[in-house]
Amino acid sequence: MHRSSMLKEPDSPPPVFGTWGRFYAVVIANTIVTYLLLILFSMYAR
Amino acid sequence: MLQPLDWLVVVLYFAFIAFVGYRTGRGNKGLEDFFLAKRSMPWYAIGLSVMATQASAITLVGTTGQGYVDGMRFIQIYFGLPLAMVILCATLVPFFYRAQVFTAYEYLEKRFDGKTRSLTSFLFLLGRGLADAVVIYAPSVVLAIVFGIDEKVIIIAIGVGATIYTTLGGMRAVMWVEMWQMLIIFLGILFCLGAVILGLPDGISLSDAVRIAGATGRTDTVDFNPDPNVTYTFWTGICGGIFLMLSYFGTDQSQVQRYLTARSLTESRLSLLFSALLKIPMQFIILLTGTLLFVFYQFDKPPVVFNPVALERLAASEDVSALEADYDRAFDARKLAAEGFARALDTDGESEARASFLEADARMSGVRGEFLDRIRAREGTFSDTNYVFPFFVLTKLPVGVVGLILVAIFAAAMSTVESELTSLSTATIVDFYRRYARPVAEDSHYLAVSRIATLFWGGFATVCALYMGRLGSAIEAVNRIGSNFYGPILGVFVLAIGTRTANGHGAFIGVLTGIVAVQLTDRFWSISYLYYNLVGALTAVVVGYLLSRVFSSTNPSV
Repeated sequence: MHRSSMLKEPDSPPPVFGTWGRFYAVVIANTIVTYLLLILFSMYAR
Repeated sequence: MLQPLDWLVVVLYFAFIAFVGYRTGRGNKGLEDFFLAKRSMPWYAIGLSVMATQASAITLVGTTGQGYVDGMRFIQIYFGLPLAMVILCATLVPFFYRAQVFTAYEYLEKRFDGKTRSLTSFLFLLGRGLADAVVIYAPSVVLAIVFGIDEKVIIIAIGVGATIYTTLGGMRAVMWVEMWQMLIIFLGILFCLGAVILGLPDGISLSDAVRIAGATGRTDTVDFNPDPNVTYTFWTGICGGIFLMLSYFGTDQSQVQRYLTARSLTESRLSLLFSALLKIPMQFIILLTGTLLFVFYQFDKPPVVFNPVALERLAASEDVSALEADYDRAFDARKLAAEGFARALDTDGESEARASFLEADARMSGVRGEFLDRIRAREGTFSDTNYVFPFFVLTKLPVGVVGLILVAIFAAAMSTVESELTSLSTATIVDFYRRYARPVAEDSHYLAVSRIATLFWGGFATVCALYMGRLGSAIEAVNRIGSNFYGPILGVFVLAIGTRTANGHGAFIGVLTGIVAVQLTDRFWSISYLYYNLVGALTAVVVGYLLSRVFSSTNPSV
């Protein structure tokens, strides 16, 4: 393991997502919510 | 017929588009100006332009018709789009942007070799060259029949109009014009949805209308059927749809060129994610409009066939009066049943009323089907899906709004045509003329030949559209084959950015093998067409990768 990472505090882990990773996660989450809303719409209309 | 106020709206639209094109398209000096707007475009303009390019006029009128005839299941084709956009933003877009290329295929020469670039660019020209004619011709036929305007006038208005400002203003003019065209399309869609909802009879709420449509299965938006032969399901939308959208947005020059105009990589990505967020809701509204049209016509008698010319031809050739009387009786019975069903909603009698309504609807569909069968027996393949929406617009909407919707249809057609023109001329000049004929020349020379290429493609598309009535089946055949190229081309890009060992010889043969695989799938396997790009891409990747290893082991210098 690299020396600098050994010196890191255990309560400050490296970021899992960068800025774009978070943005992509929002788009994917929004898409999943869209699918769910469409399923609810179909169920309501039936 | 159109009223003077509608014509005024149409004239104002063309004047506005000409003004925006003139204002934004001045001062082009070289290829980067003309084809990439000097890489200066903001994300929102690109995002709307990306959507405008994808939304052709036939998408607008055809999708509403699809909602009327078949319901909303078609929306599943777009399920893979947001995910494809995320994948592209994380993979291909940064490669394209940093390589500072004009065309997607130019990147392939940097990674592989000239022949792979030329092959993929040639396939694009082959596939898209005639598609432009279809994009002009298809809505022109519908508008001509429904609105009573000469078909040639519409073809020339769309084809020549788009060619003029694309040739003069280049990419910057095209993209700003497209941004406005997309806003006009949005406005048109919202007006139509509002008009259909307001047109429902007293006592029928929006909720009732949705449930009436739902009883016939038209509001089913998600189908988890795992059968790959069913065209529109959740799985075909996710698995096949992702590859379809990756191929279209990642390798089709008409889309790649849009996000190459961004002033930064961030803006490129934002533009795609913007359209990823908007696309499914937009298609939902379009399909909902069509589905609510179906409910509207429960209470307002629809024509038995929405293409009046085909109906007239049938009536002239045989006696259909008995069938027409059947249709009138079936409509009256269905109207009563629909009213009964609406009253019975949330009461004990709902299931009985629903059964009566479905029975009456099936009877009316049967009579309509009889008419359609007779027309097909006379004219061959026939569908009136594309006529439903324009017919409603002309006969039910107020003067002025008809003009606005007509303008939205024009905007949808022209936005696709101008994108195709810029991409076709870019591929022609950058991938062939500058690559093989004149690698070095003055900016003014390249600008002049670029304009000539745009003019050529615009003229070619317009002339083909004018003669499409005679050349129809041949052009459609070429167009169909062309749409099968994108999966294999996507496969080459996967090889380019996903592997280190792939080389030009392997990639080249991989594309060709992928095309053969798609053709064979089309011919011998009744799988949903949404999977074709997946088959083509996978074949190109596997064959291209394996052959690359063979070539590099036999000749390490490859």
